[in-house]
Amino acid sequence: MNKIKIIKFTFLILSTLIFTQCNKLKEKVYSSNTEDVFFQSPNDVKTALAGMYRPMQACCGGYGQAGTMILNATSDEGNGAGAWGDFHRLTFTSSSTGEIGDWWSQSYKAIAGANLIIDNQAKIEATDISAGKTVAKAAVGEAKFWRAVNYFQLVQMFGGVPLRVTQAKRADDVNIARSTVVEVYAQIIKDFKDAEQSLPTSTPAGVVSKWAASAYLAKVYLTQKDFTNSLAKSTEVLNSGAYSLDPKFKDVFDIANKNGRENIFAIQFVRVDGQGSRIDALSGWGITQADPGLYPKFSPADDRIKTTFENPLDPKSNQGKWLDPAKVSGDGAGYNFIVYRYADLVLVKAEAENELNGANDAAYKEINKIRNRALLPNLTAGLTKDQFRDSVLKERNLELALEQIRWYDLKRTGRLKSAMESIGAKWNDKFYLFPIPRTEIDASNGKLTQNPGY
Amino acid sequence: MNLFAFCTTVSIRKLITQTTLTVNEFRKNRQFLQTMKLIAFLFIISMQVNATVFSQITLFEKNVSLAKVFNSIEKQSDFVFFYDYEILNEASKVNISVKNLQIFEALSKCFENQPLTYSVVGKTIIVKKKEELVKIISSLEIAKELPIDVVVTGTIIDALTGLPLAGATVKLKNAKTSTTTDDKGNFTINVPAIGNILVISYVGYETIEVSTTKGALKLNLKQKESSGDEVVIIGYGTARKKDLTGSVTSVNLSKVSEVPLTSVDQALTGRAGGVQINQSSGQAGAGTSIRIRGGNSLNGTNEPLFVIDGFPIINDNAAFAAGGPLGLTNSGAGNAGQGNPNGALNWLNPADIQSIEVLKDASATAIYGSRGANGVIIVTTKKGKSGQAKMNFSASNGISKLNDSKMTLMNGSEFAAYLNLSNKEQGLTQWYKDTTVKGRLYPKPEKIGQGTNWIDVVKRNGLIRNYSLDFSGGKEVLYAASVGWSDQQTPLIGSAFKRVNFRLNLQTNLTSWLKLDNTTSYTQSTADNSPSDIRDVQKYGLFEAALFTNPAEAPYNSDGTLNAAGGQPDVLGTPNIKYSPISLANDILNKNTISTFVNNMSLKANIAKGISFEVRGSLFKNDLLRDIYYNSQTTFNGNQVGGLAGKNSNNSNSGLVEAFANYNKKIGKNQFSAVGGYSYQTTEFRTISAGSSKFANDILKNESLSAGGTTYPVQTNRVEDLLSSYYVRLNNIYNDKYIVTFTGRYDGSSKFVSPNQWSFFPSGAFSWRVSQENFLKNSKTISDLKLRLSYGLSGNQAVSSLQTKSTLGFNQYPYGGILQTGVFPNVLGNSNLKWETTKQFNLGMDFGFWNQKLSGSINYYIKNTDDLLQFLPLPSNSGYSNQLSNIGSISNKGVELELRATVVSSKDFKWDINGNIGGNRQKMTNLGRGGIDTLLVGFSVVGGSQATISLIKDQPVGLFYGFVRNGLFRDASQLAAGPAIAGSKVGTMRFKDLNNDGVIDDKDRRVVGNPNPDFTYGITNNFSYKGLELNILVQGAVGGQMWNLGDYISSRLGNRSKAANDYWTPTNINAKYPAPGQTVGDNNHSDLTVENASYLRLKSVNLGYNFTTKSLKIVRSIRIYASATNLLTITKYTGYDPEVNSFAQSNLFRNIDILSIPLYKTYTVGLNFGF
Repeated sequence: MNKIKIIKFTFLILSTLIFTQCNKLKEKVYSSNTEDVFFQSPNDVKTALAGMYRPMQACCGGYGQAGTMILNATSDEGNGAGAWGDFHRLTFTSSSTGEIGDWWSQSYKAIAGANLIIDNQAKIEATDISAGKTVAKAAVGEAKFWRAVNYFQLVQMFGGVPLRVTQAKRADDVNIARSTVVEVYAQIIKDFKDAEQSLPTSTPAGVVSKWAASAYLAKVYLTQKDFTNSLAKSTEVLNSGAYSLDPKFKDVFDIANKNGRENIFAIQFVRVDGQGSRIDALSGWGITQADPGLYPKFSPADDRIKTTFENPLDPKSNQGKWLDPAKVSGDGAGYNFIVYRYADLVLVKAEAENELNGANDAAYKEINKIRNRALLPNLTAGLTKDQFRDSVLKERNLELALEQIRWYDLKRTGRLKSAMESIGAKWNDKFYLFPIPRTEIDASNGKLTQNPGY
Repeated sequence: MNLFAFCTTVSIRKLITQTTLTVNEFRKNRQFLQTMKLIAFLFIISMQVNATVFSQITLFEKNVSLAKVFNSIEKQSDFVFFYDYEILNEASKVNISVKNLQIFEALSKCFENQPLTYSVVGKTIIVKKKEELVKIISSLEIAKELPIDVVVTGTIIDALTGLPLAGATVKLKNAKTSTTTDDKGNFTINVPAIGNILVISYVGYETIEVSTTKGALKLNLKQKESSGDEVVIIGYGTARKKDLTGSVTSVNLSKVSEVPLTSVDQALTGRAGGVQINQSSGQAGAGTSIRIRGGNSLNGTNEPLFVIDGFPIINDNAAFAAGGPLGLTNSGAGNAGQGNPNGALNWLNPADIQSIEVLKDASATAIYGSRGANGVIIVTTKKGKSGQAKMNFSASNGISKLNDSKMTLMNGSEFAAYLNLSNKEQGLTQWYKDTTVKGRLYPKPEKIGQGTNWIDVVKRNGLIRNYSLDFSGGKEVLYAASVGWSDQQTPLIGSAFKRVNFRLNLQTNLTSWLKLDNTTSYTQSTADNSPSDIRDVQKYGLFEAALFTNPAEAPYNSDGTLNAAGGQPDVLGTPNIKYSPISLANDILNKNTISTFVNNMSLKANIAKGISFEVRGSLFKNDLLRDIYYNSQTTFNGNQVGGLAGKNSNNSNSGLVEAFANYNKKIGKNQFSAVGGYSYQTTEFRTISAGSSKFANDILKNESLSAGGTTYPVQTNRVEDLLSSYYVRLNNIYNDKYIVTFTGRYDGSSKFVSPNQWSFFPSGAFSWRVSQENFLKNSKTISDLKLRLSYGLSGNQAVSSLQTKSTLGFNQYPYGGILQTGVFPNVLGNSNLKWETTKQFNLGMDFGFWNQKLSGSINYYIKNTDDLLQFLPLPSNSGYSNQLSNIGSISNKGVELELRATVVSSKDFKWDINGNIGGNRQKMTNLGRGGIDTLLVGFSVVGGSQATISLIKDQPVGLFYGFVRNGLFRDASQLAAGPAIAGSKVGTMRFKDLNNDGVIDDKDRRVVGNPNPDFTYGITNNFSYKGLELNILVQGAVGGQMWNLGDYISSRLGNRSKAANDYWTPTNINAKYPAPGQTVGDNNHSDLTVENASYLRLKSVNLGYNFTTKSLKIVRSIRIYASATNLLTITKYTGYDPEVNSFAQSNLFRNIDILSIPLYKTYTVGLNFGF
């Protein structure tokens, strides 16, 4: 037996094993990207822009479903069936329904998607070969626009919320406290202004332009009762000619007229399973039923009735604005969800004008544009400021019915309490704000405080 | 062994010592070697001439050399001469003339006047110088008589079966002489007349020693139960059972393998203490869940590590599951489209297994370091043995039956009446009133009669067929080869499991010091099950569908077409969608085809005395393909999209390179051994899923995805992980009494990053063989007593890959109206992740009484697991919902007892009992969530309804959490008193207002049940009478509850149990069930459905007969047997089966029954031939 041979054999095998293998423990990421390898091309930027909208579009969160259930139902417009009736009856709690949690978490996922772009501004600019880096600027502007849209909704619904302007990355920044309402609004205005500066004036259909940011500013200022700035911004957008009213009310919701002239900002859906809207399908659960009090508010001549209600003869009908007879599945209806449309802005201007200058001609001119399209006569002349305010709000109620706007209007004008009482719900002042989801409070280990009363 | 034999052994030992000394004096002698050879002969063989007839010699030689004469004698006789040529030089020439003279007379003539003499040793004639032989003989102090040997012949037979044992070793004690028995069990050996002790051994049998000088012995060998000399396989080596410091249970496979089993994990059921095994359901190819000493982990796997021929495989069924069909984006948690995945160990044919060892405590498992925390199960497959080629053929055939006797459902009349009432209550159409809708008549309930028992429609007699053929043998190259074929058609129509497997093990010595061992195995199996159809609703498909389908409806219409109205009355108006269970079985393709290839190659070098070095390379490759098709006409999912087709492929590849050395050395009274080595394992998973829908027809099913009008995006994924390890075990046995073991493994994993990437898992153990002490050595009562103590760490890194990395996820969004891919921040990696670490203490005792007639072991353990890997919920304003973190602790404590007793051991009749019992107490000692001491986790039951389990500080994991039922609102006054859920009426369910706030809401829930049994047990009785054998396994659990959500699900969807006829009516106000149609409170899962899940099950009964085949030349053995499983279950549980686990291997959801298919009863007959 050749012992030297054996020892060599042993030594060889051992050394090969140990020295070739023991350092190879680095984990490779194969099927997903990490942030450090991303934003290498203009395509990456486009991908990130699409990605940031998805959370609020997807089923169950945001405009996919939760908005219908929360915002329409918690008003004198919508209804809600079964468990979702809790919103309409004001019997919801911080943990009894998942929709508030869905809205909250999907909003913040959308904000995280926007922050991903904003955080990588330098890398994005490096990929942009255009003069003045306009493409990169537009991308960052669009991210800021989207971030501001989400914060604008959150601050109205929940009050001062945790304010994230960069992505959470480390253990110490995954859990932050709430900012004040003032701080959140300051950021919203700053973001919309930044967006206004960097977004192009003209964009392809369905893509936001600088005018969308301006239009939002008009709404934000109105909400803050800064009627001067609101009037200025709304006038600026109206004068720009970027948008106009569709000739007929039904055109607004016609799938053939998607991303039409009246669209300021819309969540995009296509007729693909999982990429389409499900509001249509929610009718099957009775969730999109109108409150019986809505129908009688319309005058019989109002052209909007047959579009607003699926069955124009039934006061308890389901909504009729978001319907797609050719939908491919429950999550496959092809209409867009219009978050902000020109008619809304026209009424914003009317309202701001009235608040600043009373029911003047300019104010009448705007509200009558809306009434006339609905085949209604001009508003009675000579109304007082207060009467005109009521008229604008009523017009908003009818024009924007079941578009998830009524709750904001009622809250903004201090009429939420009376509206809810009018449908028989038991009021408590805590309902001016929605509760922060219970799971969110729990996960924060005491860092987040609940809204009073919940 | 009798006392005489023992003394003889001692005297022989003395002789050897003395002889050695004598020999030392010769060390410088030139004839040393010769002397040594002679001494060897003198000892090995006895020195008495055989008293048989001697050869007759005829010699006519003149003046020839002595050598030539010897040659002639050798030619004429059996004798050979043994001499040194040199001494013949001194001999004078020989003249001899003899005819037919007896050999010894002839010899004496030859040696006349020679300076030489001879002695006869057996058939050897030793020639020596006269004075030298005398000197040697005298130095040996051997009796005056010259040594003469004895030829002993005998037969070795199995004590139990009476069958001859071929290949048994018969060895002369303290000598090298040995032989093996031939295929008839016969042997012949020469033994010395004095002090001969034959040691007879055979793998798997108890070794015996006999002292004899007589021939024609008939020796019975008993199968080894658990004698101390039994060799058990431990990590990277073997040990005698009596030398173990750790807690190890060997499972006796000789009995197990007679039962036709699908999978090795089933073989363990009821056979090892502290090992709890649950089958997830009776689905074809369904897996099992194994818990050794309770669960340690919440998110990592709690399944033990399987080490199959040295290759570590986690028994993780999830790795063997394919994704759901595409397009079903809205699938709920309970609906992956196919129920439970296939068992991870299905590929291994139980018939190929030689032995199974269960390693339980830290001392035993620490050598597997980061994967040892859940225990380790070592499976060793059969290897070839030297000797004559053997072939075994076995065949078994059987039937299986659905165990559906537990629950009786409403018949047609009852359900139609119930449905009418229910619909009336809800303001819906009452169908069954002799109404005709769309040309169909819905008769009055009383006209319907029994209606359809849908279980009868979908059930059948299942078929079980198993065939296997194996070969073994070899000389230079040892081989063991097998081919197996298994086919099971389960008792539900349309579902089946099939398996074909091949194995080949080859062993050979490449050089005198280098051995090659290679095992290759390939298995292909298919599992065909009927999946669920309707979204969000069904988990188990066919069985569940059959339970809820409307019994008032017939399976087929009068024109022979499938009855579209079968399932749900509320969709009667929907054309073309057939809710019939028959269409689930026949019109949905759902088939998993799994190919598993394993190759283990090892080179083992014996480097020096006591040192061996082994290098191993292994490859494990598992490919799964799932074929899915939902028919466009007859299934809901398919109908929605015009036929839904998918193909999912899931490939895993794992490679292992390993090198380790073994060292054994005896130093004085210390027997020292050590193992040390290095291993490197890579595991890669890859998946591809493709699907499409909208087909022109159903002909091609899923075989041409491009023929579909809608194509879903193809999804692919790939992850890889690497594990690098150093390990060592040091063991010392002092004086056969005190045993110390140190074990450690240093593991590095790619799943973690520095400084937590590497971790060390040490353990230490001590054991004391008390029975070796003088005060017990001669005890007639206590034949074995050993105390064991161990403590150590082991880990669990069974966490998915990529958890330390933050990654972006992909989504889609129609940006600007054009659908395109998007990215979003998806996972927030945690770079601080580390192993879950389990600290385990074990105190054990092994004992044996009355010469091991009663033996066993008892263990007490405490396991504390820290740094639990949990998904810590993050505030979602971070943009993430959770992050994997190391938080919280779990403690498990328990006692296990294993007993083996020989009740009767007479010549013909034998009776052994093996029993085990184990109890575990689990406690979540720290939730890791700050001040929160209760966490609730919901799971989807059906149609959006959720039930909840809880994690509560200082309580076991998975306690059921729900409302407390308080009967029904019997009358108006009770309803008025409240509190009631909104919408309650008289006859509605009533719940307790636990917090007395006047409202029934989530705050009125509490712990309503505990899934953990107090203890589990198994008892095996083995009887044998001559060739007849009977073994019976009884197994069960005591304590522990099951959440029986089955009737609830059924009631939500359709038909329900007959018990629900006890519903509230104004005349039956004390009813158990609410009035039909009163659904308020339905979703409040309560204590009402929590039931005692204690059970005692006659798990298996086997009756076999071994024929004596002495008269047959070709057939070595014949055995016929009949066997039955799950024959009888005694339980108070009202669901179908107290043993099923609907959530399979889930750590949180245990003992929840959401209509799992009950385990089948099987009846099998089989035949084994040995050639």
